[in-house]
Amino acid sequence: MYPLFQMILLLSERNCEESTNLVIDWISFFGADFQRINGEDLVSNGLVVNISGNGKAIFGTSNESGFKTSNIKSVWFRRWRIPPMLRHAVLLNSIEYDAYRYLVSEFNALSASFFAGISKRNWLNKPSDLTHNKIFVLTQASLVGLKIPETLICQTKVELRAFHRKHSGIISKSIGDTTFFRSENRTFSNYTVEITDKDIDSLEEHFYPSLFQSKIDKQYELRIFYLDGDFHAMAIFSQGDRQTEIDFRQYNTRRPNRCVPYNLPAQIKNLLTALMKRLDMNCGSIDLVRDKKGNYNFLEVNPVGQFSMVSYPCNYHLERKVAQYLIKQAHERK
Amino acid sequence: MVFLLYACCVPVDGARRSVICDLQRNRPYLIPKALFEILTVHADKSLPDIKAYYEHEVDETIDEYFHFLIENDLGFWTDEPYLYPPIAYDWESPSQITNAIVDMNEHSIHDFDWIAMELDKVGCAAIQLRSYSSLSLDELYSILRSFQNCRLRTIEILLKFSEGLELAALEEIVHTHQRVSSIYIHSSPYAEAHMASRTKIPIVWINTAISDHSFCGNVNPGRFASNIQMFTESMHYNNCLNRKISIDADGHIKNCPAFGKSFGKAGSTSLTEVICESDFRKWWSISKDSIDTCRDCEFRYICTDCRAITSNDSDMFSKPAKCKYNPYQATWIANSYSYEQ
Ligand code: SF4
Repeated sequence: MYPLFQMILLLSERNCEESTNLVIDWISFFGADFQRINGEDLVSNGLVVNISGNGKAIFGTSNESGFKTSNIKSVWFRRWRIPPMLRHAVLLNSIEYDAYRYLVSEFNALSASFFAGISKRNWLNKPSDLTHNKIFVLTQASLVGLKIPETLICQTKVELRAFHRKHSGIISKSIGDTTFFRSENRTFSNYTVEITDKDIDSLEEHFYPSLFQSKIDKQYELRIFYLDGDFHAMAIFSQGDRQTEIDFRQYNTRRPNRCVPYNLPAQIKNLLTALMKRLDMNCGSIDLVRDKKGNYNFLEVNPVGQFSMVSYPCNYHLERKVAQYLIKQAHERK
Repeated sequence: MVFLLYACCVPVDGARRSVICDLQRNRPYLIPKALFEILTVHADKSLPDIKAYYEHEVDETIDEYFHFLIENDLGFWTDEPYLYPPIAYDWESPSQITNAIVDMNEHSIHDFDWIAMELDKVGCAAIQLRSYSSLSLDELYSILRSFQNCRLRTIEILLKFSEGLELAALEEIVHTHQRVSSIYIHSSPYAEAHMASRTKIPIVWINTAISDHSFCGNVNPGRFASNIQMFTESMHYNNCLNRKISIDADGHIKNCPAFGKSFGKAGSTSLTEVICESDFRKWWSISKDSIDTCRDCEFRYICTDCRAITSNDSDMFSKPAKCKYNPYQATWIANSYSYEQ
C-alpha cells in the first residue's frame, strides 16, 4: 500500500522533543523518507496487532495512517517513555494504583513486541541502552581506564559519616534515572546536591539506599555528544556560580554559564570510545568533569540526552549530523 | 599564560572603535580599538609580553582592560588555549524559507489555507502576520486555524487596536495556539505590556499608529541582536532578506512588502517557484560586509539590515536610510540614541 524505500524510523515521544523535530526538518530538507512513531501512538492511535500462524506479528492501525514497519532501513531510538496519559492521580494501596502499574507493564510488553518486529539493523541507540545502570557504567568506565569519583551506596548514617570524613566533600544523586515529582501546581525534579555535616546530622540512623560520591574539585564540566565514533564536546564553566556549582541543571538565567566548544584530548577520546564499545552504545551524551589538577573524571552517559543544549551554543549543527547519519545508514547496502 | 575570550564572545572591529559581541548573553560590549588589537593580533602573548610590546607605556591601561574583561566574564587566563577552539561561524538551516511576512489591510483577500500549504512546502519556520486594519477575533482564529497543521514554529502577530481585542481574549489565543510567540497591538489609545499567564508570551499595546509597511526598517541599539544565529547569518547573508518571503496586503509575492518588485500573486504563483528565481534570491547574499558604511561598522553582525528603505534607491548596496549611526565618528546623530556603557 505504501511503496517506500530507505525509510527512516524515528521512535520518540509526542511533547517537548525539539531535537526530534529538528532532525526531521533536516531529513526532509535532504529529501529522505521518514516515519515518526511516539510511545503515545501505541496506545492512542487505534493500534491493531495481528498475530497469525505465519510466524509474524503485524502492527497496523484501524485508521489509514498505519505503522509502516516493513521498509525500514534505519532507526533512531530517540526516546521511549510511559505515555503521560497513563498517569492518573493514583493513591497507593488503591485499585487505581494497581491498574496504573498494570497499564504500564502492558505498555512495556507491547513496546517490546513492537520493537522486536522492526529489523535489527542500523539502529542509532536501541531500547536496551536505557537499561544500563549507573553502577554498571561506572565499573565499565574504570575498567577501560577512565577516572571515576569514589562512589558509595549505603543506608546508615555511620557509613555515610565515615565516607564523608574520607573526602573533602561529597555529593548525592539518584542511583537510577532522575524523575519528576508533580504536585498540583508545581513540578519538582531531583538533581545532584552537596551533602554537608548538617545534612548528615538531620538524617535518621537508617535511610533508603542512596548513592554518594566524592565531590570533585571542579575546573569545568564537559558535556559530550558521541555519535558513532565522533565527538562533539562542550565545556561548561559553572564554577564561581554557587547556584550551578554542584549541578549544572540548576540554571542561572540571568547570567548563564559559559558554554564553549572543547577539544577533547585524543587519549580521552580513545578511552571513551572503548567504553561506548563495551556498553554497545553507538550514541550518547557523556558527562565528564575536569578537576583543578587537570584530570578528566567520568560521571555518566545518557543515551537519550538533550544534545541540542550542546549543539546550539557551539554551533555544531548536531541535528543535521544525526539526520545525515540516519540517511547514510538507510542507504547502506548490507 | 594567555588571555582567551570565551568562544561565544567575539570581537568585531569598526572604523573608530570595536565591540565584543557576547552571543550567549545577548550583549555587545564597546571596546577601544587598542583592546581589539590586543585580543586579536597579540592573542598568543602573555601579559608581560603584551606590556613589553607596548614598551611599558600603557601598563595601567592594559591592566584596566583585562580587569574589565574578567569583571564582565568575557574570558579567562589559561595555559592550554588549544583546548578551546573558536566557534565555527557557518550558518545553516533546514528551511528553504526560514521566515515569512504576510501583510493585511481592509482590502486584503488572502487565502490563508493556500498560504499555509505553500509555506509548509518550503519548510517555513516563522511567520509574521501584520494587519494595518482591524481584525475581529473570529477572523484571527480562522487565520490561525489555517496554520494549525504546518511545521511553523512561531507566529508573531501585529494587529490594529480594536475594542474586542481584550487581554483575556488574547490570552485565550496564545493558549489555544501555542505557536503564537507575541502579539502587538498598534494604534492603541493606551500603552500596556503584559505576559500571558503560564506561557509568558508578550501581549503588548503600543501607541504608534501604523498604517502600512513603511514603519519597518528601523535601526537602533534596542534592536541589535547579539546571538549566534544572527551573528553567523549576518556574516554570510543578508540578515533581513535571506530565506525570507513576503506577501503584501494586495497579495503580491515579494522579498519584502516594502519592495516594488512583485514575483506574482499569492493563490496563483507557487512560492516554491518564486524562491528559485535568481532575481528573487539576489538579495539573500548581500551581507553587511558588502554594504556601504555598514561594512566599517562594529555593529554589522548584530544589526538587522533593511534593503527596502535605503539612502540611495538605485544602489543595492547603500546604507539603511533609517540608521542614525556614523561608524567613522562613532556617534549617533543628535536626537537619536546614545549607546555608551
Ligand atoms: S551603519 Fe549599518 S551596521 Fe552600523 S548601525 Fe547603521 S545600519 Fe547598522
